Order: sequence, then structure tokens, then C-alpha cells
Amino acid sequence: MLALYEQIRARGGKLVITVLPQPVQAMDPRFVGPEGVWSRFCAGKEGCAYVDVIDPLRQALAPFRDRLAKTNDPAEREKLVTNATNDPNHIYLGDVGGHFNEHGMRIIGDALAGGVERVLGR
Amino acid sequence: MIPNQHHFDRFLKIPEDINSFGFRGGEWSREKRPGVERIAVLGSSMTYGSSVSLEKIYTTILEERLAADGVKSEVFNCAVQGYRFEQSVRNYERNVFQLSPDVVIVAFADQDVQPMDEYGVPPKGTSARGSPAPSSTGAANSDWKDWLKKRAPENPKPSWAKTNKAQEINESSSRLPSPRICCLSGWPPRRGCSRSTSKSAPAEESW
Repeated sequence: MLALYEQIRARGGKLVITVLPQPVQAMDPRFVGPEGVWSRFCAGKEGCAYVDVIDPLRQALAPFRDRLAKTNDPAEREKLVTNATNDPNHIYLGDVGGHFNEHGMRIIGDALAGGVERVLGR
Repeated sequence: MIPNQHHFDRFLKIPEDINSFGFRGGEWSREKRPGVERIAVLGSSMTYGSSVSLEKIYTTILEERLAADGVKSEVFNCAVQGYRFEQSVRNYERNVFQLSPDVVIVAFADQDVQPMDEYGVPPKGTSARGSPAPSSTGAANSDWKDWLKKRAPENPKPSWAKTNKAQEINESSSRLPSPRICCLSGWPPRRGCSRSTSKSAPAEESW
């Protein structure tokens, strides 16, 4: 990462680092939050910012996970997971730990916009 | 990725077009426009937006959000499906820097930063993508071998493989003369394969 950062800086660019959780509930805490590895990497480096998208994604997924936890019927659970793609309370496609659906994508885009503006000095 | 491809996602519903740069999206200009920030995003399939239409990928949303906040920008989705961090760095070094981005966003899943060995095999105790294999409810399963067995049970050996027949075939094939591979130009020189001995194959010479 340091080598990449130096290359980007040498060309006059700026670096934004973000970690996309896959799945969000199994994230390694070493990477998450203001004390995480990448946040510390960027600390004190000019033109470098870490943008946390995990917390907003986790908050967005919380209602779905509550609903899943309260569902005891395996068939109903399976249905919830399978329909996750179009679930406005879900962030991933049909499988819980796979790729992001539109809802998850929007949350990431919104979070990154703030980080990019910050690194651009806007 | 191969440039200028038009194909669909795995469900054959969402078009996933590859532009002339070999990345997902419409055509981009090499020339930088004044007053427009260029943002390149490196990543894997999660950024590429597998099974998500182009206008709903977070790179497009990022561009829209910045425009709403008064920041003119072009966001390039330079992600490649299956890429790990090391490969994304190579991607930047070889291709992405040519777009002269003002900001480079590195977006990866935590498993993407684990080192690859020469065969691309992930570290022990991880799934094919490198992370603890998730169960159907998303909980981490540390014993990936059990998880793999459940998903892909070991195929029973075919009946012929249980006998010595397979070994016999192997042994008999090793007794056959090895095929002679000749280069038409006579180079590199090999015994029985020089240009002067190519009389035995005049038809090949005429090629």
C-alpha cells in the first residue's frame, strides 16, 4: 500500500482507502473504525484518507438481521435470504455475504463522496 | 479485461459492457478536462458491480453525489472481477495511471489483501477468496474444509480407477516413442531435426 501511495503521490494524485465488508458481520476488527490498520496508515500522510463504509452498512443491515434472528422457521429464513436482492433493508445480493445490491451500493457511494470531498479539500 | 465486449451477468439479465480501456462502463476520454476531477476506483467484483446495472454501481452514485455537491468529476470504475490487492496495484501501474486520476480509491474486501502464492492459492483456513468461508447465514466458519465438503462432496472414484488398469495404461504409454517436434527453420538444432534432414517432410517445408 505504501508503494502504491508513493506512486500516486509522485504523479500528484491522492489516495482514498476503503474496506468493503464481505460479509459485514464477520469483519476483522483490525480493519474497522478509526483505530483500524488503514486509518492509522493514512494518519499523518498528505493526500491520503481512509473512508469507513462498514459502520453505515452495518447500521443499514441491522433491521434485516433482527428480522432474521427472530425467524425460527428454516424455510422462512431461506426465503428472507433469497429475497435479499430486492429487500430495501438488505445490502447484499441474494446471498448474505456476497456482492452488494443497489441499496448497499448507494450507502457506499454516499459514504465515499464525503471522503473524496475531504481529500480534495472541498 | 478484453476491451469492447458486450455481455450479460450470470443471470443473463444485466448488461455488463466493457469499454475500449478494458473496464466496465461507457467510453472514457484520455484527455483531462479542466475543472473536472478524475477519480479512478481499483477493486474486485464488489466494485465491478456483478449483477448490478451500471447506473446503480457505487462509482456512478459517487459521481452523482459529487455533482450534487458542486464537484465536477469523472469516476472510472477500473475494478476487475476476482482481482486481489496485488493485482490491482499492477492494474494501476500498467493501465490506470494513464487516465491521470486526481484521486485513486482503493476499495477491497479484507481478504483481498492477503498475499497470493504463485498458484493463487489462498492461505490455509480460508475460502477460495481468502476469507473464512461464510455459512448461508453469513456467520464465519473457520473450518473451511468442512464447509467445502458440504458444498462440493468428494466425487467417488470411477470403477476403472480402483483397479490397476490405470497404472497399466500409464506404463504402456511411457514405452511409446516420444513425438519428435521439429522446427521448420531448423532452429533450435535438435538431433534428427535439422534443416538438412527435413527431406523426409517436403510438404511441411513448403509451408
